[in-house]
Amino acid sequence: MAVKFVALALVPVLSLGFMYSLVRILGFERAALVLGALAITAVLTLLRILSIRPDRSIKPVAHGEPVHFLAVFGSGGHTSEMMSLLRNFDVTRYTQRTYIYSSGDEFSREKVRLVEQKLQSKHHPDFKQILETKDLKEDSDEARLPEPSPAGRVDPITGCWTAECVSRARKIHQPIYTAPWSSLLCFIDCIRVLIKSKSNKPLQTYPDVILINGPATAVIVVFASYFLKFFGLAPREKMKIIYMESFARVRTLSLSGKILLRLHLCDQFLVQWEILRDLLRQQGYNADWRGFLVD
Amino acid sequence: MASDGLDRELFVTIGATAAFDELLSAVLDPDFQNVATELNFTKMRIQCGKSLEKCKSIISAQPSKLDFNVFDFRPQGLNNEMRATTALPGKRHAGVVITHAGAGTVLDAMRLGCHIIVVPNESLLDNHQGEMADELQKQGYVTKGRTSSVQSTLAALGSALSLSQALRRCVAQIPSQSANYTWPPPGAGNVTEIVDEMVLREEAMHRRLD
Repeated sequence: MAVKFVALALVPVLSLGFMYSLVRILGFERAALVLGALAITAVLTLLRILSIRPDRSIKPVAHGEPVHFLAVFGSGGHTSEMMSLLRNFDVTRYTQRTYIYSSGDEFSREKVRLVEQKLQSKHHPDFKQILETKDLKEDSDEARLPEPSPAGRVDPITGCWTAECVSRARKIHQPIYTAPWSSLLCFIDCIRVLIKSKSNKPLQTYPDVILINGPATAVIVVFASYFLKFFGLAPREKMKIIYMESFARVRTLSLSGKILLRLHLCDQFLVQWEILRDLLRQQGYNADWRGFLVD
Repeated sequence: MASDGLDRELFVTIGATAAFDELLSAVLDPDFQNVATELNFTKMRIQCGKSLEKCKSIISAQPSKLDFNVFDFRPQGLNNEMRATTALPGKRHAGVVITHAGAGTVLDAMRLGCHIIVVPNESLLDNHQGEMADELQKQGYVTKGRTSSVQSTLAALGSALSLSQALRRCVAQIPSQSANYTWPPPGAGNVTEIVDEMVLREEAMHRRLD
């Protein structure tokens, strides 16, 4: 509390000091010009930020049109939950699917392929036959699913998927003072991937929706999407952010969840426990609860 | 349930990331073993991670009516072990999975419809695992078990007793729980629908409402 107060008191003191020194160095007229320019920039920036805030009333896709989704695969537990969250998607409607995983995370790379295999199998002519012969109850049966279409190739029915690798935002046990640097590298990578995904077939648009759960990389992807919107590179109705907090979080949010909720960056912020939704509402945050999302 | 020659399995898993010796010594305690035998358990499988040798030496040092199978890790997951605790008419009764409170493992077990005792690892710092076990117990999906992280003979005895009680409670619930326990529950959220709401313009929504 005291820290907050001191920081707040410092703002007018520092800005007055800054203006005074500007006047001393540049003379009154030129200082006024510089300050005016700064003020206009600040106001325009603020207005721009306000204009790209999440707005649920604007939707990117018309009735019956195919959708492009992007899902971020974090690591270990996050990846397993993301696989479960994606289990019901109809790939004949979500015909473009971009997946992001972190460098060195071969586990997630493999899981992306497995998700695609399961989603595409539902629309594969041979799969019906497999279903008829046996229930897919045993794990070994997964090996009998038909191969998914290769990444990057457009299939007339199931569309196209790509898995993109980005530099890791934060490695386990990485010293905290290097985190800004690795996050910046990750941020640049995410921007590159988002721009690239726009030119990918079949839809050639930015993702309509970004699906994320807890990992640090997901937060960076969100920042990257707002960066593109801020500079007008991406339309504001694209890249809706849907955050799904982990099933393991019953009464408190994860760090990523806290950051995204406090900054109001999500179009939809879901938690999986009613009690957590209620606790957040008591604190004035608008989180949503639709029952358990994982299976 | 009288002993009718059918198997009943108890599967214990401590997870892949951290040690959980309190749980292992509690389930290997003679008192706990006696309760398990009394409840007609015939087999006990234990995933014990790096404590494999320790477990083996405890098992070989004491007599028990249970048939043991211990291993360290299964890279392909534990679904087969968990499935072995589900009832199979004429072959085996419904058994019990005793698991650490890792969300992934608990979800795996619920998906297979296992009867579950969740034991949070008290020596881990994040307590959100305990919260999850509490809520799941409140909603009737699992039984919560406890072990003490204090290193003493008395605490170890207390852990074994408390886990025995949890096992009795869990087994007592089996007939009623089997009838009404499905995972995911009927009202569970569907991510596709949530995404459609967010992404598709009104016309599509009207069509779905019709």
